[in-house]
Amino acid sequence: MSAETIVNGLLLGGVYGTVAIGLSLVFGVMRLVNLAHGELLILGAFISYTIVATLHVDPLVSALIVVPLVAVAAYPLQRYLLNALLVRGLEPPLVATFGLSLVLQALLLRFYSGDAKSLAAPYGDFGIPIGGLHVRAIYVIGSLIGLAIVGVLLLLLRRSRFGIALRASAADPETSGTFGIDVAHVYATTFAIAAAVASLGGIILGIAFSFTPSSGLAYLLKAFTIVVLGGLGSVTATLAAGVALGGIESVFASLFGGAYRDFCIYALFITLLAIRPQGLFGRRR
Amino acid sequence: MNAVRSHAPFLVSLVALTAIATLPLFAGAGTRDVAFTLLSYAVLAAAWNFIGGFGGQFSLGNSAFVGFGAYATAWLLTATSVPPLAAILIAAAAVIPLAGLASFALFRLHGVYLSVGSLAMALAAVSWMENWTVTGASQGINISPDRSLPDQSIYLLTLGLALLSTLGAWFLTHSDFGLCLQAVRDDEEAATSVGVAAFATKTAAFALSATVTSAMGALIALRQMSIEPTSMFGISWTIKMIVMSVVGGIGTIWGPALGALVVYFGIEKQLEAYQDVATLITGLLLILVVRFMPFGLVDVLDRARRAILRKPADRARPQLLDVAPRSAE
Repeated sequence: MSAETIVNGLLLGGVYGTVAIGLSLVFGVMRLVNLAHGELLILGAFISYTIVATLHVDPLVSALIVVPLVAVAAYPLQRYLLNALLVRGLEPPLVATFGLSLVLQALLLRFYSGDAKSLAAPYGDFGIPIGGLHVRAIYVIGSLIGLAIVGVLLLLLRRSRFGIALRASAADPETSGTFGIDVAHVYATTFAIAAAVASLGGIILGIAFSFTPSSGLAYLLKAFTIVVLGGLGSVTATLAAGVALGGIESVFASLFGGAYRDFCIYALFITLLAIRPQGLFGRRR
Repeated sequence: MNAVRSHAPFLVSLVALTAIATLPLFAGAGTRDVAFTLLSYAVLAAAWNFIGGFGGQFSLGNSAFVGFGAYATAWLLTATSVPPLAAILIAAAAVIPLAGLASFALFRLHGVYLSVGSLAMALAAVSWMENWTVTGASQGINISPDRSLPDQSIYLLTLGLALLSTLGAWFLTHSDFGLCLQAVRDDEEAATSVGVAAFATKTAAFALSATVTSAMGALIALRQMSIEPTSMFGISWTIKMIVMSVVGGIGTIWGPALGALVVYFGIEKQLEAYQDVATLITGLLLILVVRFMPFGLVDVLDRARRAILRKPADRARPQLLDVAPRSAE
């Protein structure tokens, strides 16, 4: 096991953390488990693929179009479908996001076929030396973008009027409503932000690895593991947990071989859950 | 006498449907193939409904039991000289301790944690089987033709299993055990406080679900003869079970079977050449049912029947998918 492997793993973990932020945000604010999170991520990668192919721009530049597009598409899903289901308990919205993931997968399969795609970027396979270690450039870029997203989200959550409304809605939606906060709008905006961040993560992962319409599920489970590791209510902790997972994954891969890497991650996840049945999801409100 | 009369519609439907389901035994192999697939989905969805519907434990991990049953049977038929029928029974029984073991981790969890935890278990099973050389890793196992059963026998066994799983759902609707299970689903704290052993009840329902699922997996393996991890342990089994149960009516006796009929025969089979379109329609149907028909198609049909016969609704609606509004946390 070399230091290089672990550093690469930690940096890739930064990208995983970015992907998990949306899942954690949506669960923290609305108690909604979004089983379509992985598909929203892969959707970002596929839309970027189309833009790169037609406009011949860099995949990261395509994010300028992809991210707003996914956010705009996600808003009505929460506002007009999931909001109405949230009041009925945990299962109905869970089943609805399950349906959404089927629909998104089917649409992607229809338009892009099941063949593996990847986003071509000049720095895609590029390595850069950091302190004598050979590190994949896209992991570094991805981690930096993750850090930037965390910074922006922290400002948004702590300093803006929307952030106050969001925290109030998360703590007590009914009281917030009586104080004139448009909870339905806050929920839908939160979902849109989560989807937007996921799609950006999807583009980064699409540059680093190939993807198919069914790639979402594996990333969803990684994101869940990170959310359980990092706890709720803190985007910084989510990113940190992502980095930790990336490191753990690279250690597992070199200890047990790449083939058992996924198994180890799932086993770790189940163990974490079994030890802390309420989830490690932060403080209980 | 009264009891007999109140169960008469169920018994009549069961006998009539069983009679209809024996017809493919005398039809061509193509018809029997469609009928087998339909029945197998009905069995799998019904088994998921034991734990997901009556038990309210939204498992996303039942696909692992399909794979377990299939692999256990295939391994027994290739590595030992056990007769096929015994192999099916062993596969169905051997899954019980496994489900019990999983229960210890899973039923410490509640709500969505349980769902995600069980999903992780199913995915762990897939990645383990893809690498485990004992069962041929990603190559899987081939059952030699002389070790399998004739087509008609497999179909008859599947029909028997479908009959059993329907009776199982009937049992869970009417027995004391079923009442305890539904009480745990509707309010675990209240059920525990009146003396229901919540953990044991959930574990028993989970084991029942696992047994039927594993037996079905065994029959699927006998029919396919060649099995490999991605198809046998695939999450798509769980997706089908849940979609069919929800569309038909979660926590009802006939819901999963009706869902299997609509989703498999109504959508997938008719759009065989356009699988992506079929998935799209299935996903949309799932969303529409959850949004507008929280009790599934069975309830819609039931209400239509009552409206036509001008009968009042005589029983409380099933509770799942309609829990009390979220309390302020």
